[in-house]
Amino acid sequence: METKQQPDSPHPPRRTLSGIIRASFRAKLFAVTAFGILILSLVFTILFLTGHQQAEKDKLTTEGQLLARLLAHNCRLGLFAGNRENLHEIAEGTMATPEVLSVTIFDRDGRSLVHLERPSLKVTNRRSEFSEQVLARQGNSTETELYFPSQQTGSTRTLIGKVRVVMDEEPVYRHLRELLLTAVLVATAFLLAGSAVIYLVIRGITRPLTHLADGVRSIEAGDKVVSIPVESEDEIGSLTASFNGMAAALRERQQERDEAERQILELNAHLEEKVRERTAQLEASNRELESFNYSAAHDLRSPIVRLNGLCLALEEDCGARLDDEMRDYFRRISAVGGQMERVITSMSSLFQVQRRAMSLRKFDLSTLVGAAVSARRETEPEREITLTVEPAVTVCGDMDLLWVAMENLVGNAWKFTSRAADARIEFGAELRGGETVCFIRDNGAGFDMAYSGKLFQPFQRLHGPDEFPGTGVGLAIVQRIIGRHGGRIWLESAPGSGTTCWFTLPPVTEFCPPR
Amino acid sequence: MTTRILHILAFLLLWGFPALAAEVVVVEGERMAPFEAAIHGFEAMAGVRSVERLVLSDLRGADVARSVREARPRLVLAVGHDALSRVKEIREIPVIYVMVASPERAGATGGNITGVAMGVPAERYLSFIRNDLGAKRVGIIYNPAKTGSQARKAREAADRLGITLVAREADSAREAAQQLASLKGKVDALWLLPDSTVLTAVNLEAIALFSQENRVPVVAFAAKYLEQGALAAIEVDPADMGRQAGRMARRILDGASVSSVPAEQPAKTAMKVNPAVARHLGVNSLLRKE
Repeated sequence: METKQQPDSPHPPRRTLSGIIRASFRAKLFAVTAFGILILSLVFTILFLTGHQQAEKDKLTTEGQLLARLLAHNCRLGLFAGNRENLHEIAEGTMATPEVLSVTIFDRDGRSLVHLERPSLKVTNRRSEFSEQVLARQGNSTETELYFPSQQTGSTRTLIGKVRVVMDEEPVYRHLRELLLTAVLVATAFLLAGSAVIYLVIRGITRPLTHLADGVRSIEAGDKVVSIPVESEDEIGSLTASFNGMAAALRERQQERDEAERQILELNAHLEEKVRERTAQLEASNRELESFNYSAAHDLRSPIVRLNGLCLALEEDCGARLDDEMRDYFRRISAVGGQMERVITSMSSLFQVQRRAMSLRKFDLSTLVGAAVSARRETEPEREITLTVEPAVTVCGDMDLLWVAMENLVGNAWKFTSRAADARIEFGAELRGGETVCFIRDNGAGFDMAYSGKLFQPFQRLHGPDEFPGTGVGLAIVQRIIGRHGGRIWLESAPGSGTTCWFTLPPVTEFCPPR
Repeated sequence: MTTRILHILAFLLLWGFPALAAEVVVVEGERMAPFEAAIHGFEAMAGVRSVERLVLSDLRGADVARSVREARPRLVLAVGHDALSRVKEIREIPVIYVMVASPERAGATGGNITGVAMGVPAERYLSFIRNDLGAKRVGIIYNPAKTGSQARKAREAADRLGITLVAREADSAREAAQQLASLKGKVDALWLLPDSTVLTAVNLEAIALFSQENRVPVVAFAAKYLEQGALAAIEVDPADMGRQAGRMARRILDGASVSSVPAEQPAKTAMKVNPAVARHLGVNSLLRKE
């Protein structure tokens, strides 16, 4: 009954009577009580009417019997004397009763002596007949009885005729109809008045409940300040009090939670600021470090180049004058100079890989791998290497950076298969979980997987420079390039059984323009 | 009673002493208070030594006359119409009747029969009607077969008294009712004769109704009709009639011949009035008399 209807909703839900009754406790209670009252008033009306009808009918029957008996009694003289006028008069007297429809008087042989019938406009079937025998006492039989009171009480009677009275039942039914109308009116009035009273009473009883329901609903809707007046001292009253307590507790808890949330937010903001600050500091120090590295590499490079140039000039100008021992030192100095230059070059290329801006393109990685192997072949045409390249492995990435990476990986494979008898280098790719997983596999020296963690750190080497030459920066460069593409890289190897280098690259999407 | 009679008979036969036979045999129609009163009155006045009583209703059709003859009484007292009609054949013993309305009809014609008739003389009624009720026309309804003689006497008395007697004959109760209706407006008073054809229960009602409607007083012959609407009744006294009969018996027993003792009419009559009826009919003179 108290359900709020959204006025702005275009199609409010259709509310049927049963729906209303099912939805509202008050309507339910009211419906049950009203139904009870209805049944009660119906039963009472029916009882009243049937009782009345019976009483009216009984009355009519009694009246009819009485009339017939009276008529029979009165007729005795007329019947006895055969006096039709007298009988007619008596019958007319009986007809004076409005309910009497007709009066007939028969003689002893069943002949109708008098028959009076009320002229009636309509013939009704509702009529009752009452017949009564007319009996006459026997006359005095003995002379003595004429003089003195008779001792015999039960004197014999003879039948001298019969009377019949027909009564109209219509007035009974008319009266009953009027009564029915009155009863229906009274019952309706009673029903209405009773319903009104009961509605008021039920409303009084259920109002706290409705308020409670409203309160719960507003709590549900998120209203925080809800307090319902306690209107009664019954269960509903105590329920309301508990509800108020609950609402207060809920409000408190909500406040506590809000406070905690606010504190967390504050802390978070603080933390973020700190992180930002730290990041900025880190970035600044990183930039500083990078620029230091860069300038160190750059600044170290020119003295080394000059040193190497001086070594070259020394060899050209005074090579002839140097003895063997001096020449050996000189050769070692120039070797160290060359090594230093290579280290510095690698360092600067490492930094370049990190600083370079990326431009993503779609291209064929297989071609790139093929080109890297071909470049190697040109430097060492005498090596026999079996190359297997899976064609048309298309990736999305920066081609220059990936060229550096592939050159490094192919270079590693090339380098570590130098001692293998039947050297093989293999390139392939497969799709695993939406990303392209590529590999470059060789059947070279391999390594112990226990040291695999060190391999991607710059300047970390598993082999001595005399075993396999290199600066130890290659894999670090490769890792940074793959990392900058958002991919991962890992190695699988065992000493003496070759190495497989796996790396992933992001899948080709439409955002990746072709080259 | 029969065994007692048999005992007496045996006694008489054994002893051969007729002097010890009952002096009087009383034949009674039935045991009823008026009859008993009459018998007591008779016994008181007759002064007889021994009385034998035969009650007809107890004997149930036995030969009463023979029983009486065998008792060999000196006198027979017949109480009631039935008793008289049963002993009327006895010729050798004097018979006195009492409580009989019309001895002629009972067949009391023998010379050995005398008694007290119950009928009050017509003059008594008619003079009362004329003097006290001021009626000139008196109606009677009778069955000639039953009360013809009384009607005749009534006519004679009316002539003597200068009263117009409007008589109607009826052979049946139904006819009596019709005749009653024909009396309307023709009579000032209605006189009931002891006629069982006329006085049926229905007719008594009709008479009462007639009396009331036409303001015609009804004079009856017994007090019981007062209750049924009669204004007045001239009543006989059974005990006094018994005493009257007792006196007659005494005379006969003392040696008088029956023929010298004529039949009598009741010496004492009592006038009874229904005051309510009197008031309704406006007969105030009777009320004052009461």
